[in-house]
Amino acid sequence: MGTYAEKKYANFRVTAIAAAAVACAVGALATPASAEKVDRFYLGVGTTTSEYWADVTLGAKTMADSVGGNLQVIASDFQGEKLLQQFGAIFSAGCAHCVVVVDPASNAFTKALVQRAADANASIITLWNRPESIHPWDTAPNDWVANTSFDGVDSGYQNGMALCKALNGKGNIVALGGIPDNPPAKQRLAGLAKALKDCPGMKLLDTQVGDWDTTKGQNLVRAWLARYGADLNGVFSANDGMAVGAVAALREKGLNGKIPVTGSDGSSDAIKFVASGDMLSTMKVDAVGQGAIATALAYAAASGDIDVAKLTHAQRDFWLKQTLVTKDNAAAILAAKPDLAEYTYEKIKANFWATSPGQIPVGANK
Amino acid sequence: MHAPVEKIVAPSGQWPGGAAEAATKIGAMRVPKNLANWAPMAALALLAAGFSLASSQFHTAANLQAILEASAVPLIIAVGITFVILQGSIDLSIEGVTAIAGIGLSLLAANSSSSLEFGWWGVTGVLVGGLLFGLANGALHHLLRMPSLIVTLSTWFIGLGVAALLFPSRQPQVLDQRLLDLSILKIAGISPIVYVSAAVLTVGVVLQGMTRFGRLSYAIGEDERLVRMSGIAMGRHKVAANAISGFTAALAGVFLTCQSGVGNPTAGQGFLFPAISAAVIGGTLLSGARGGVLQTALGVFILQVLENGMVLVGANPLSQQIVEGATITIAVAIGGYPLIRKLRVVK
Repeated sequence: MGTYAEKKYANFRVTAIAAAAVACAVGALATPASAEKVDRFYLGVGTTTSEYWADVTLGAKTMADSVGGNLQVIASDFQGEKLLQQFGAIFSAGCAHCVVVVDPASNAFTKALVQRAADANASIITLWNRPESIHPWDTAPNDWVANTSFDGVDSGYQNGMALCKALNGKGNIVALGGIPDNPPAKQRLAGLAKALKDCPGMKLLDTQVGDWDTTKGQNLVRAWLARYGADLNGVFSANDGMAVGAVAALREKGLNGKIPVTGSDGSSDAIKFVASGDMLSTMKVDAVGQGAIATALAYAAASGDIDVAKLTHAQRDFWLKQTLVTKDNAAAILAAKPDLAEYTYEKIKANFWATSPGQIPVGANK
Repeated sequence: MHAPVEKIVAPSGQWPGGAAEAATKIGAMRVPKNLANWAPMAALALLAAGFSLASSQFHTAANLQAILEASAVPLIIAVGITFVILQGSIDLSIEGVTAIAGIGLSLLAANSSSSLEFGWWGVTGVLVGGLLFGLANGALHHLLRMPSLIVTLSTWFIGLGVAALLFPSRQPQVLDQRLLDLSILKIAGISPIVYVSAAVLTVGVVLQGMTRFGRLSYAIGEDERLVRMSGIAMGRHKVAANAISGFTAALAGVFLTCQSGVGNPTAGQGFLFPAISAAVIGGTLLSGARGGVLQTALGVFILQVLENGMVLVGANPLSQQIVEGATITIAVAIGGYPLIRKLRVVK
């Protein structure tokens, strides 16, 4: 890596830059463990008012506490511009020993955010939003430590197949999609399409955009009930919020529990619905784990415990664990409290990728 | 100075008589109100006819119920904000109020998160809270002479912030069956929420047409300076309009929570602009003094019929917003057509 960088830069750039790059690479290789004092932890979340983000924050905070760091949470309210401004202020004074874990709000802001972090020498890990064409290793090799996400195709597929099974392989379903230009929204519908292929008796009557929103989901399902009546056998929803709306619409007609509804995310209200039979299934993402693992990995890079240059692609762009929730495991999942002792740096350091199902494949973020 | 005042506020008959009539003359911009008033009605009829032709399900009782259920909450919000718009002001804070009411109720009534069980008192509590929030908006606007846009923009954020603070790390589920029944129980096939929305509309019509508050709202919207110079104490009417808007926003938050059964601090999201659009489509001008709650109700139904009909005919979901936007433009253009030659300035 060092020689490659040396050659490349010596050919095309001024010698000074090459020297700096080499020094940087060599420095990273030579840095002994925990030589740097890393004490600033920043977590950029979509909103503070959702269970998922509360769990991510819990994981990140537990991890930061375990190394004596102080976690600062920054909420973008899903607005990338706002996020850029907020992190711009943080980065402006330099952030060489900072840990930054952030959801860039949409693919459009990932590159800008990563570049600003790199300019400030912060160790950054992105959540959810990576454009298909850029990766940590080719965009900011030393500073963009990794990107993590959850496999939306897998979620859509497993929930779709759960529907197939509940309908005994035959029936008509409708699909509630998320905000159109959003990787998880597309992935989950792609997963459903895959399930439809594997379950030829299940027919998709209509797909509508519910913008992740409970009330929109409810209104759409009401309209579908009027349109299809008894021909409607199942509802696929790309997230739990819309699924809860779908259950509300079905409940108005006394059809909750009779027409199966699937969700995705694993919020506690949806899991309760799965337990009570109002919903068929949902995919619970390991949000606490995501917050803790991402923070730990970024910390390891910032403190010199790991050499980012030596990480493989699969270690820098990976899926995290998710579990299909059905009636069989819903009660157990609801009762389980996250064991915070599992999310300390010492524990995670043993293997950052222990729970990862693998690398994010090419084409996943299209 | 005093005589014309009495004339302006004299309750000399139904709207647009009395104050509004006089105020309209002052504004020197009489509208041939027939066409302007009938255009939204015609638009609604046209949409309904079109969707009936395109889809055999549109006209079924089940679908009419679906439209009424979907219209209930937007209608409640829109009736409230209409009074503010009539006065020429705006209330941007309704999503904040709805958010506080939604999450507040889910914590005050029997729920999975807190140990409180206030039941109907919880509902009363958040409704009073909404009313006070609106009062505060009105007071800031009137007493400090701050533009309503700025006041309610800031209180919108304050509302969302308070809702975020109230949010426990787990989504609270409402366990009070009486509240859940508000959306589940059916009386003649329709939930209590729809009946309440009809009651809100009725109260709105009465307030608008049969009270001094209603008539003065038109006068304030037409020319606030003139009303003030006439020596009329109008502060209480401006505050009242905001209080009504706050109350209806809180009521909407209560019903959204009852419908979904969970406390959601983002429950009100996406209701502000449709409410304003509904008012405008129905013929209530943002500059104030024209339109009213019935027109706003028409606007609400136009938007809901449009949304419902697009699903029934199986329209491409991505094109829906385009059609919605186009409908707003066309409805406003038709509604405003008679004004074209009289309006010299449009902002």
